[in-house]
Amino acid sequence: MQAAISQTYNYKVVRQFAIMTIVWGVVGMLVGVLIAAELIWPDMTLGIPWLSFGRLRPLHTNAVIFAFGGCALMGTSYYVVQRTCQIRLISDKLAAFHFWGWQLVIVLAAITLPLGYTQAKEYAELEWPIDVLITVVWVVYAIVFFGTVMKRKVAHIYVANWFYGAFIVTVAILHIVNSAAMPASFWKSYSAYAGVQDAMIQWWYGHNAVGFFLTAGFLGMMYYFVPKQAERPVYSYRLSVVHFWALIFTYMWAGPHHLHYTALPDWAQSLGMVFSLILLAPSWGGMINGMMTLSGAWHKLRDDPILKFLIVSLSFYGMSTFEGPLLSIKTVNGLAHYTDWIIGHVHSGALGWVAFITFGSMYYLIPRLYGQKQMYSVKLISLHFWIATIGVVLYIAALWISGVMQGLMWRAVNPDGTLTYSFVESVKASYPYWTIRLIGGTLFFVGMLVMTYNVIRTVRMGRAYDAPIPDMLPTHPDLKPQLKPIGLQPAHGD
Amino acid sequence: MNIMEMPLVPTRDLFNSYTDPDTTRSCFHCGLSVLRDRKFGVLFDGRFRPLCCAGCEAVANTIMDAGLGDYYRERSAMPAADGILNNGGTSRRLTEFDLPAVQSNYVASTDAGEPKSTLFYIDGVTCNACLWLAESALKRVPGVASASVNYITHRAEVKWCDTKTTLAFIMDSVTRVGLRAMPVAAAGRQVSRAKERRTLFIQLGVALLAMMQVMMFTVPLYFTSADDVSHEAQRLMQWASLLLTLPVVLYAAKPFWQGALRDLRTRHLSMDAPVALAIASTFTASLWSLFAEHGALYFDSISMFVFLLLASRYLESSIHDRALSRIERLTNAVPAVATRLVGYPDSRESSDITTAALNAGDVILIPTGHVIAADSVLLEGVSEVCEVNEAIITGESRPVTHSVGSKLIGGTLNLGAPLIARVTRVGAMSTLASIARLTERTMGERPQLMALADRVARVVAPTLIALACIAGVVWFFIDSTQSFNVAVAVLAVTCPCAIALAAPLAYTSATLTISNSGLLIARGHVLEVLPTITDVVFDKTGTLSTGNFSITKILTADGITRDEALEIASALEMGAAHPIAGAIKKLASHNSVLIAQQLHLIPGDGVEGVIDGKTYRLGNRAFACFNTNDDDAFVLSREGKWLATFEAEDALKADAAITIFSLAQSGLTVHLLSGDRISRVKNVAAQLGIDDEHVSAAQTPSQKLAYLEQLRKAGRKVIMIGDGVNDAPVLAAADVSIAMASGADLPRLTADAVLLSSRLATIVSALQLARGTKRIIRQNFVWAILYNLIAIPLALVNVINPAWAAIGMGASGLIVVLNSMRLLRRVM
Amino acid sequence: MESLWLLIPLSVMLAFIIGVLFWWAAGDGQFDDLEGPGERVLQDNDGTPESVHNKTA
Ligand code: HEM
Ligand code: HEM
Repeated sequence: MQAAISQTYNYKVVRQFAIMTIVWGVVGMLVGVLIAAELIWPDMTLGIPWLSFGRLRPLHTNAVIFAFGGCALMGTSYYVVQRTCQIRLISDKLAAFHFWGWQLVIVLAAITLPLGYTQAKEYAELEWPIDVLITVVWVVYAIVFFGTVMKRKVAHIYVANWFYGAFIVTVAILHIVNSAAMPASFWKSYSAYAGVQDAMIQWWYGHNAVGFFLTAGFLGMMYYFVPKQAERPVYSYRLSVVHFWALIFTYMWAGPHHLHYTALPDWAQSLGMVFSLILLAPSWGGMINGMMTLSGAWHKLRDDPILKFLIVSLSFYGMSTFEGPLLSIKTVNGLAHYTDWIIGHVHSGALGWVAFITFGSMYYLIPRLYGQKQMYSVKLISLHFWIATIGVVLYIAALWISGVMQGLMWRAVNPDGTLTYSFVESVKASYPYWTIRLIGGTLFFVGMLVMTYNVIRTVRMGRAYDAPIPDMLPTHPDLKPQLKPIGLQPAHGD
Repeated sequence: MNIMEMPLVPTRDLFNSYTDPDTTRSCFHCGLSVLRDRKFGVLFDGRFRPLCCAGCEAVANTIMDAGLGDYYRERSAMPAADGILNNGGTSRRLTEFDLPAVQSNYVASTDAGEPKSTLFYIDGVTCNACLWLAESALKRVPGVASASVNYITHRAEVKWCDTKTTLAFIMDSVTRVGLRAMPVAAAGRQVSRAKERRTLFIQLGVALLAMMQVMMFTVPLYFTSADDVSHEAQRLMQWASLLLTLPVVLYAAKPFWQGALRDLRTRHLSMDAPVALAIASTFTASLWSLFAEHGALYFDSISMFVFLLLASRYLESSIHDRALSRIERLTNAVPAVATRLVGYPDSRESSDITTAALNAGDVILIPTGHVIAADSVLLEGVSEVCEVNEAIITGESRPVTHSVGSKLIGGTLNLGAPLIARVTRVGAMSTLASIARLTERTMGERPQLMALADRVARVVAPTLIALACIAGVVWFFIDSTQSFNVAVAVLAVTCPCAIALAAPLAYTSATLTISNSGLLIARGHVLEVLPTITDVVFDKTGTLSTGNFSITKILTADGITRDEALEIASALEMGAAHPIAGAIKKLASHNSVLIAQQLHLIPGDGVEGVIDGKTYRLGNRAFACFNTNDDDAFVLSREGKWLATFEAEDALKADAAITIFSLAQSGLTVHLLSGDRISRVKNVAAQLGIDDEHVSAAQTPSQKLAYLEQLRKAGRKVIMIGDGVNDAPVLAAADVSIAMASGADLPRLTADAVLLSSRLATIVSALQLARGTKRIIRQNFVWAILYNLIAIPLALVNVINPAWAAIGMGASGLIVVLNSMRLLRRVM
Repeated sequence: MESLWLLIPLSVMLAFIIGVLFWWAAGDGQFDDLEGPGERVLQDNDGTPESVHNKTA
C-alpha cells in the first residue's frame, strides 16, 4: 500500500476541495441572491436579526471569496503543483489538516457572522480566534505547497506555481498585518491601529486581497487550465513569466485607490492612481497571453463549453482590469465611489472572471479526479455557460446604469446650492435596476445548481481515482542497453 | 521488425529506399509518399498506418513501444527526412564516441562517481513535439540521471552514469526516434559568456526592482507640497530609499566599478570611469544629506541611472550573443562521423570514419537526410534530384538542386537521393570554419567611424570630470552650499555613453541582420562605404546566371547520331566534375554500356580517353580539334577529327532583372564587364536592361582593372561584384567588393563581402539597410550631442536638479540602444 | 502616519524578499528556457486510463 501511494498523486485532498468549491459556491451565491432581494424588499426576512442585510452581506462576501474561491484555489493549486512538479504532496496528513481546518474556518464564519461577531473590516470581518485559526491553517498550506515545490522532480517551476505561491505568501502577510488586534474578550477585539491608520492598513489589505486572492491565484489557475483545455501551450511562456514579475512588482502599491477622497494624504492617493494605471499593462498582457493561446485553434471554442468558460472569463478579466484603472482616476472615482458602479465592477470581476475560470477549471478537473474522460453531460455545461453569461451581463449592466445614475443624482445641485435629490430619491430610482440585478443573480445561481447536478452525476458515474506519477525510468525493453550487439565489430561490405 | 536486423551498411539497398514523389499515400511518420507495393506500417490508435520505408518503420515502432505515441498527436510539422533512413546503420556509427579520446571532448569533467554531464545539440527538429520526443527518449535511457531540452536553443543537457550507459547509446536513443543528438564540445567560452549574461540579467533585475521601490517613496513627493507629508514620514521614506539603493550600488553597479578600476589600472579612460564617479559622488552626497538632514537625495536617480545603463548593456550583449550563437551553430553543423567509400569507384564498400580524420580526396557517401560531412564535389547521385538544403549557409530554406560536378558544402543537408562526393576541403579550410572565422573577425573589427567614436569617448570622459571639478570650484565661490550639487549634476547629466554607443551598436545589429539574410560581411568598412556607392559593376556574366548549364544545341558530323555523341561524351565524362559534364550526362541515355579507359583529364582543356581502341577528346575546340577558332562550345573529336559540338547555356538568375532594375531605381549606375563573346554579353545586357554604354564584352582582367580605375578617377564609388576566385585583383580595386561564387568557394575568396545566398536581391536590401544604418547612426549622434549640449549648460548654471539629470542621462543612452535595435528587426 | 511605520519597513522587506527570489530564480536557471515549460505541461499524459472509465456499478 505504502509503495502504491508514493507512486500516485494525492488527488484525495484535491477532490475534497473541488467538491467543497461547489458546495460553498451554492451557499455563497444563495446568500448573494438573498441579500440582492433584501435590497428590494428590506422587510422580507421579518426582522430576524441574523438574516438582516448587514449580517448576511459579510457572510456573502466571505462565503464566495474565501469558501468558494478559496477552496477552488487550494484544490487547483494542489493539483497543479503536483502535476507540474511530478511529485506527490509532501505530506498527506498536513494536507488533510489544511482541508479540515479551512472548512472549520468557513463554518465558524458562517455561524459568527450572522450572529453579529465582526471586526468590522471588510473582507477581514472574522474575530480574532478565527483569525488565529486561519493563520495556522495558512501556514500549513504554505508548508505543504512550498515543500512540494522544493522537492520537485522537474527543474523548472511552472509559472502557475509562481502565481499560486505569490498568492499564498502575500495573503499570509496581509492577513497577519491587517488582523493584528487586541482581544478584549473571546469574541471581541480592537484593531491595533487607530483612525486613518486603520483605514489605510485595511485598504492596503483590501486591495491586495483582491489583487492576490482574486487575481494572482486565479491567474495561476488560468495559466494551467487554459493551455490544458485548449491543448496548446500558452501563447508565450516568456510573456507569462514577465507577467508574473510585473504584476508582483506593481500590485502592492495600488491600494490607496480604494480611499480616494478620504482623509488619506493627497500624495498617497495620487500614488495609488499612478500605479493603478500602470497595472493595466501587465493585466492586459496576461489576458492577451491567455486568449492568444487559442490562436490557430479558435474553432475549438465553438463546441467546447469548458473552453468557452475559460476564454470568456479572460475577457471579463480584461474588462474589469480596464474598468479598475478607469475607476481609480480621481475624477471618475468621484462619480463612482460608494455607488453601485463599484458593486458592478466587483461582480464583473467576481462573477465574470473568478467564478467563470473556476467553473471552467472544475469542469476540467472533476472528471479527472473521478476516473472519467469528461463530465456527465457536456450539454449541461453548455447550458450552464449560457445561463451564467446572461446572468452576469444583466447583473453588471444594471449596476453600471444605476451606479452612474446614483453618482449623478448625488452631485446634482440646484442653482441655490442645495442638493437636487434627497438620498432616498436615489434609492427609489435604483429599484428597477436592483430587480434586474436580482434576476441576473438568480440566473447565475441557477447555473450553479445545474453545475451541481452535473457534478453529482459525474461523481456517481466514476470513482475516486489517483493518477500515477509518470515514471521517468525504463519502460521500453528495446531501449535497454544492447551495447554489445551494436558494437563496432560486425564486419560489413554486403 | 527488429532494428538490429536492418542492413548495417548503406549500400544499394539504401539507394532503393529513396522514394519518388509521385505515389499516392503518404507515410504516417515522415509524410513522404508510400510506394504501393511497400508493406511497412505501424499500429496507432488502433489503426494500421502506412509507412514509407524500413527506416520510418523502425522509428515509428520505437516511438510507439516506448509509449511516446503522443508525439504524433502533438506535432505540428513532419520530421526532417534527416536521420530516419538507415537507422540501424547510424546506430553503429555512433560508437566512435565511446573512444576515450573522442569522448573527453564532450564530457564536462566531474568527480569520479558523479554523473557525467554532456550537452547535445538536437538536430532534425521540425516542431516542438520533436523536442519532447528527444527529451522523453533521453530520459528513458537507463543510466541517464536527468535530461532536459532547452526549447529555444535546442540543446539537451544530459547527466549520465558511465557505469550504466555510454555516450553512443545515449545518442542512439535519440537516433531511434528519428532525430539526431550531436554532442557539443565542452568549450569554455560559451559557458562563461552565458554566466556573464546571467549575472548581468540579475543585476538588471535588481536595479529595476530597487528603482521601482525607491521611486515609490520619492515620486509622490514630487507631486505634492512637502508639508503634506510629515517630517518623520519623509525621514522614514528616505531611510527606506537608502536601504533599497544599497544593493544597487553594491551589487548591480558592479560592472561599472570593475570597469573604472580597470581604467585606473590601465590608465586608459573608458566610459566606465565617469559613470562610476557619478554613482559614487551622488551616493556620497545623498548619504551626507541623509545624515545632515538637509540637502538633496539622489537615491531614485542612482537606481534609475544604473538600471538604464545596465539595460543598454544587456541589450548590447544580447545582440552580440545572437551573432555568437550563429557561429556556434555553424561549428556544430558538421556531423561527427562520415561514411567513406574506400574502394570507389571499383567497389562500394564503405567504412565509417570520424569527420576529423577525413582528408581531401576521400570519397564519401551521404545518405538521404544526412548532413554532408565536408566540402566536396558531387561525383554521383542516384537520382536526378540532388537536392541539398543550404539554409545554414544561405539562410534560404528552399533546397538547392545540384548536378554532378557541383560543389557541396559541408554542414548542409542532403534532402534528395544518396550522394557520392569527393572531399575537397576539411578542417579549418572548410567553408563553415571560414564563415565562422569571418563572422568573428567582422564582429571584432572596428570600422573607422567606430574608432572615431572611441576616440571621442576617450576625450570626453576626462573633459567631463574636469568640467565637473571646475564647476564645483566656481560654484564654491558663488554659493558654497550648491557647489557639490552642481558638480554632481554635471557628472550625472552628461551622457558619454550615448556617444560611445551611437555607432557600434548600430553596426553590430546591421551586420547581423545582413549576415542572416545571406550576405556575409567580411570587412568592417563595408557598411560604412555602401551608402556612398554610386556605381555597381558586375564582373562576368556568370555572376548573373545560375551556373546550371543546359545543352541548347548539338551539332554532329555525318554518320553519328545525337544520342551516340552524347553516349560517348558521357562515357568520357565518367568521373568528371564540371557543370557542362553534368548537363551532358543528364541528356545521355542511362543504359549505356560504353566504358572509357585511360581517361586523362587535362585541366582547363578537357578530357581524353579510349573507347573501343579509339582515342576521343572532349573539351574546348582548340584541345579537341587542334583548331583555334574561339568560342565557348564544347567539342567532341575522334582521333582529332570533329564529331560533335555541344552548345551549353547558363540560365539567368530569376531575380537578376529585378535586382538590376532596383539598383538603377535607387540611383546607381549598373555596369557589366565580361570576358565573354560580344553577342552573348549584349544578349544578357539586353535581357536585364543594362545600358549599352555601360557594357563591355571580351574584356581581359587588365582591361577590367583599367575600366574600374577610370571610374574611380571620375570620382565614382564602386561596388564590384564578381566570382571572387579568378578576379580577385579586379575586385580588390573596387571600393567594396562582393563575391558571388557559391558558398563552396568561400575559403579562397578575398572579397569584402560574400553573397552566400543565391538571391541577388539580397544586395539591394543590404544596400538599403546600410543606408538605414547610416541614418540611424546620424540620428544617434545628433541626439547624443544635442542632449549634452542642452543639458550641460543647464547643469552648470544649477537649474537642473540631479534627479532629472540622471533620468535624462539614462534615458538618452537607452534611446540610442533602442534606436539601433531597429536595425535588427528589419530582417529581410 | 503611524501606519507608515509598519507598511514602509514591510514593503522594504518584501522588496528584498522579491529581490532574493528573483536572484535565486535567475541563478537557478528558471529563466533559461522560456518556451519549453509551456510545452511540457501539455505532455504529462493526464487523461484517465480507459480501464478506470467504466465502473461496473
Ligand atoms: C449569484 C451570484 C451573486 C449575487 C446575486 C451577488 C449579490 C451581491 C450583493 C447584493 C451584494 C451587496 C451589494 C451592495 O452592498 O450593494 C454583493 C456584494 C459582494 N459580492 Fe456578490 N453576489 C454574487 C456572487 C458573488 C461572487 C461569486 C463573488 C466573488 C467571487 C462575489 C463577491 C462580492 C463582493 C466582494 C461583494 C462586496 C462588494 C463591495 O463591498 O464593494 N459575489 N453581492
Ligand atoms: C487593474 C486592475 C484593477 C484595478 C486598478 C481596480 C481598481 C479598483 C477601484 C478603483 C475600485 C474602487 C474603489 C472604490 O472607489 O471604492 C475597486 C474596487 C474593487 N475591485 Fe477592482 N480593480 C482592478 C481589478 C479587479 C479585479 C480583477 C477584481 C476581481 C474580482 C476586482 C475586485 C474589486 C473589488 C472586490 C472591489 C471592491 C472593494 C470594496 O469592497 O470596496 N478588481 N477596484
